[in-house]
Amino acid sequence: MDAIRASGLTKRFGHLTAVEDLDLAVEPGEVFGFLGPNGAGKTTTIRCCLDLARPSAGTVSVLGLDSRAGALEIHRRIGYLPGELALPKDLTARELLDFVADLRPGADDSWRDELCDRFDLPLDRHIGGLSTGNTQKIGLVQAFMHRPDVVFLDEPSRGLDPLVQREFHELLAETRARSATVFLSSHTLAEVDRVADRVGILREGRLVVTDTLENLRRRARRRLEIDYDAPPAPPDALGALAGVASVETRGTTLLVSVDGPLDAVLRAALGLGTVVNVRAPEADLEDIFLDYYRGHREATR
Amino acid sequence: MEAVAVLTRRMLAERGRMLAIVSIGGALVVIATAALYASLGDQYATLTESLPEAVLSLFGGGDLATPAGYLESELLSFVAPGLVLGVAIAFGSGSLAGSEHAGHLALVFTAPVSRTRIALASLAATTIAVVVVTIVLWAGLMVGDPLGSLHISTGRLVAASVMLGFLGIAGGALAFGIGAATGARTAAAGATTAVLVASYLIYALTPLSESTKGLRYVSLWYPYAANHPLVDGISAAHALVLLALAVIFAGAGIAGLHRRDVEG
Repeated sequence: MDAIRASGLTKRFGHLTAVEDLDLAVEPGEVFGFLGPNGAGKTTTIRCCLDLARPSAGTVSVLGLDSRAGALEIHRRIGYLPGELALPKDLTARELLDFVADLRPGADDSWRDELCDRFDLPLDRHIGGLSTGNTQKIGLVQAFMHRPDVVFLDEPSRGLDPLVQREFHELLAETRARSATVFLSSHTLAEVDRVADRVGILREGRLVVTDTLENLRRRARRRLEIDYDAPPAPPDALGALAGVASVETRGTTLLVSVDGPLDAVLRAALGLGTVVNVRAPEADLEDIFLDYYRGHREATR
Repeated sequence: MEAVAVLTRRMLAERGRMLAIVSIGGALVVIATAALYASLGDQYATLTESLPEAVLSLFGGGDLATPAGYLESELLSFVAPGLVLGVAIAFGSGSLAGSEHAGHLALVFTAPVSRTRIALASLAATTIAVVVVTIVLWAGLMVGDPLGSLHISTGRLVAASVMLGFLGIAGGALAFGIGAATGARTAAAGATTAVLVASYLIYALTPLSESTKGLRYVSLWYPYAANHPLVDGISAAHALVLLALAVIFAGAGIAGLHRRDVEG
């Protein structure tokens, strides 16, 4: 049973289609990173999982339960950190956590206390006087304190300093270790790189790729720079090869962008002159994502 | 229902200060107005003889020369209802739609609590707030009556306060209903206020002309204002109509809440 499953999930707001025909399966015990530019539909997808928003078409299930029919049971077993956390300013952190705990009976107080300790949460100051980072910490604690089976985190690192972020990443690792699932929507590519098992990239409401980061790196566009001892021959044949996105000659250097295997490209390049040097930098994570963000690549699902 | 209690407490606390201020301020207005009868009473009778019918109608149309008529026109026609409905609308539109729009209900809508229970908590908070302000206003009447030498019986004062309470519950339920069904807090408060003001004017002014007289019964204000509790005691029928309206508004609101997307 998938922890989260979306089939043909579509959500329209009037004429605007926020999410279109989304198919997604997140396995139990997985940390799934959900990425995409602003307005891509990440938050809308999370809201559909949690029955805050109702799908226009398609279905979403969490822990095998339909998002609408099983909403109550799903809510019992999930944790949620909203993207724009707005907590009542007249409460202290302690009072807010008490309030959430009252709505979710049966939680373990000692675990909650431990989390507050780990995140160094100022418990007795009014939320109105807390910084964004401290408020966000409250959000994290309330999302995890009842040991949910699935945790939905929308931009969780907002306002967190590096020390807190590290504590948060440890918490994610512990969550995965007890076979719970984390669905994480984020802009912070480095964070996703560090914590996510798999990544899904959403662009204009459509899921353009879902894969492990390792695979994404392997398939990523490589930018080769080949230096010759003299201006190389016209690289027309090279440009016609499968997987070659672009070819450019700059003086004695050939610049080739390649998606996929390098073998045929390198062989062809050797035929254009005497190669003096080859530079093939490791695919930069940011470049990988930006390529998908900008729509330069559509991967096969 | 444990969750309903937790939510109701929270919703009341969020607006508790406003409730206290309006209640106490309102009680002071009530005491002052009632107390003035002792000195103004006779002059009031002479003044009202010369007022045109339309103005008298706006003030409830009762016999203004008596203590009961005085209280009815000075307080019970729109000052006291205004105070009670102000609280009712603030809680009715604010505790659900208002809090939702502020993002405060994100963790509530994703807790294992049904939308029906969340709605019931809002209705409970609104009702409790109305009861609180009504009781405090009644206390004001109890203090003001001897001060103004009005000599209206406690039973009648209770009856008048109870009718105020039912009006508040109906108005609060309307604000809740619009807010819950649409998620639009300002629209809910504004529309409810507009409906109640219009209802009041329809009630007050339609009897002035033969052709519009019948419209009076259509007004939402009619069940509240048509009986005179200070003179005749409470009218169970009118109270039940207000309660029935409240139930209808609340039901429509809950149904609408289930159908729409919510913020969070």
